[in-house]
Amino acid sequence: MRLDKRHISLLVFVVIAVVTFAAGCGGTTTTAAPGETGTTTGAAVTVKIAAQGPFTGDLSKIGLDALQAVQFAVEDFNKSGAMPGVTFAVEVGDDIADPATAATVAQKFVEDKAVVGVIGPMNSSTVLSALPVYEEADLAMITQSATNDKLAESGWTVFHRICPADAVQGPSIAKFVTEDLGVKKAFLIDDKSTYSVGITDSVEASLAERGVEMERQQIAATDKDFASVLTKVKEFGPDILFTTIPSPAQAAAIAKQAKSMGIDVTIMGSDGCNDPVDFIENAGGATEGAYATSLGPLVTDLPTAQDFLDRYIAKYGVTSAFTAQSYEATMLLLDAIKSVGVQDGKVDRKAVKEALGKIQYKGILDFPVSFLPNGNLATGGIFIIQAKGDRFVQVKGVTL
Amino acid sequence: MTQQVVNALTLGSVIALFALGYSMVYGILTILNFAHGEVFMIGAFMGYYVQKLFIVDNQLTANPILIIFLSLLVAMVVCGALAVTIEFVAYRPLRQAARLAPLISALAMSVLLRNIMGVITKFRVRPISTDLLLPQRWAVHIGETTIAASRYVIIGVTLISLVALELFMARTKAGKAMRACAQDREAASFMGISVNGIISLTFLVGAVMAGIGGIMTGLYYTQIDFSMGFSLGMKAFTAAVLGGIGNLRGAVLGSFILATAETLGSYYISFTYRDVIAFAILITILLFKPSGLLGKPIPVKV
Repeated sequence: MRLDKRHISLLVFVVIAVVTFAAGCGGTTTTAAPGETGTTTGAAVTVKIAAQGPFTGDLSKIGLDALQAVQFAVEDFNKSGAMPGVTFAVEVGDDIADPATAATVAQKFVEDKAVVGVIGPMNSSTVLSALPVYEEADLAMITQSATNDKLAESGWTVFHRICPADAVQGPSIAKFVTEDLGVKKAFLIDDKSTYSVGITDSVEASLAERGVEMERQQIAATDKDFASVLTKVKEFGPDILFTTIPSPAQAAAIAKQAKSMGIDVTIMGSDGCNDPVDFIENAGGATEGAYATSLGPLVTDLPTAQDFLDRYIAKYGVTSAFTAQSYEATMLLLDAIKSVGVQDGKVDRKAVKEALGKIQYKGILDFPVSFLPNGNLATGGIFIIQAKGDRFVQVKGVTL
Repeated sequence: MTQQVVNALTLGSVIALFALGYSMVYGILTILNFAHGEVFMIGAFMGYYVQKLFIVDNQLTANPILIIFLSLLVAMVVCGALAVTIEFVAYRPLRQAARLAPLISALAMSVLLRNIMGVITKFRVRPISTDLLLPQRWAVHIGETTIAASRYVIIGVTLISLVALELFMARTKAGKAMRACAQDREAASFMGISVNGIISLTFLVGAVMAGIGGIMTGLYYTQIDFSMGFSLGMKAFTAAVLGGIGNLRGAVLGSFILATAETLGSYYISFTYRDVIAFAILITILLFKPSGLLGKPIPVKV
């Protein structure tokens, strides 16, 4: 019997070890649709693009949604046969939204010579720490979601973003709430992350210019209990409560808890809250009428995106804030790589970077995407969306 | 201010229900049962699954009190069974092993359960429909202070659970046996107490409390996720240490002190420094009373 007991415990440990090991190994390469183009003769070239983002941890949801869209785009591109003889694969790097990890992940991509472009990182803080590594290797990156102004201010040549910077979003939000909603008193919440602090600062500064009375508090990204901060909201009695944080689920929880405390206030999130499942469905009605922003036009309303949406939803069920952005960014990167072409089985990283700087791309987002020399988007404003029923509807587009 | 007292009492309640399990297991086995947080989290998910059966088109199909009662029952049974199984699989085989072995085993169990639940829930949060189960119109208004139904239900259920536990420990034979085992396991076994049975019972009772706590936390937070056991577990563990780990009244006292410090600290000083304030208090108390508020100094065995 003693032997049996030892066997049981040994078995348990083996199982645990295997499971934890498997859970820790997020970084696998998925080759999309191999061999479908029929170019089996000769040496088929595999070119990799990297996807970096928080694929585990608190922000894993936005990361995984984006990753799906990147993989979906690569599959589409491979199937389209736009580059015969070349198969694209996605190299996945999980930075758990942690700046230190982000730099390590970037280093890994830089050392993998097959990687010629990066989609991500997704957080402003992770972009900031990964940028020097990418810059050194001339490896171009396009972030779908990092909006912090600083990112475009240090002369990085590899940096591109397919979303407006906070300098655009903050004043646009302020313009909307004062001119369209007549807000006089506002309560702001940020979650201490680079993204959240950046956008909240920008909103706060613009509201101050417009003479709005304000109070601001910080929460932590791991907080789930907002009773204390909501009591302050209740006492302050604002017209609007800003939840400019990256987690739509957390914003929904704030809305729900506010409702359960009998606080009647309009809620407005930033682009981080643009997620119908976590912000609307999971809120059980508490976010009805709440506002958020969309960095691109609401794709569900765009005729150019319908085919993509139908196929994507058939495969994954739902779309979220960064689905269309990630898909567009990937397609755009692939387009740039295509224009560079393959020489001696290799794609030149520097040439890809230069191609991105000159690109004029029009895809599912229905506006021509091109980049300023600092990496910011040359076109596009922000869009105000509102929760109605089980989805978002576009209220208006704001340009400064 | 009174509003913040209500907030502190509510937070203290959910932490207390959680912290008891840590303290009980430590008292009897002197191991830190890290998997306790996951038991608690799974309890909260039982609430979600039960509630889902009774919600159609954002409307309840049964009496809300009945649903909460049923959630509590399911959570208590599932958590109890799970904890006893964990003890049997992860701790019992290591009873005679070195002190560190069960600690690693506990950590592994915690990671394993957390990730399994993460995969099942696709790493997304799940909503708890507090506003349907305990509607806003049930709120009690005392002057300026609004006490939402979820608040007094949480505080009430916790009080009942704590009194029941106290009676169980003080008045029943099994409770007496548990206390005996906590004092001296060997001596208890000489007195004819089945030590293994009592250890299982300890895990069971702690988990039942955690199950109740999980349901209450779901109602309080209005949403739950697979990692909630870890983040709240840090607080529960802190509360247990603060009160004197191994001491049940200490765990409850520690929970309410921690909750009060956090709530009032974040309100009067800054929300940003909430955790800093809580841990500063912990460190200060441990400097003067290293064994916690109600803990007994551990004699050095020669």
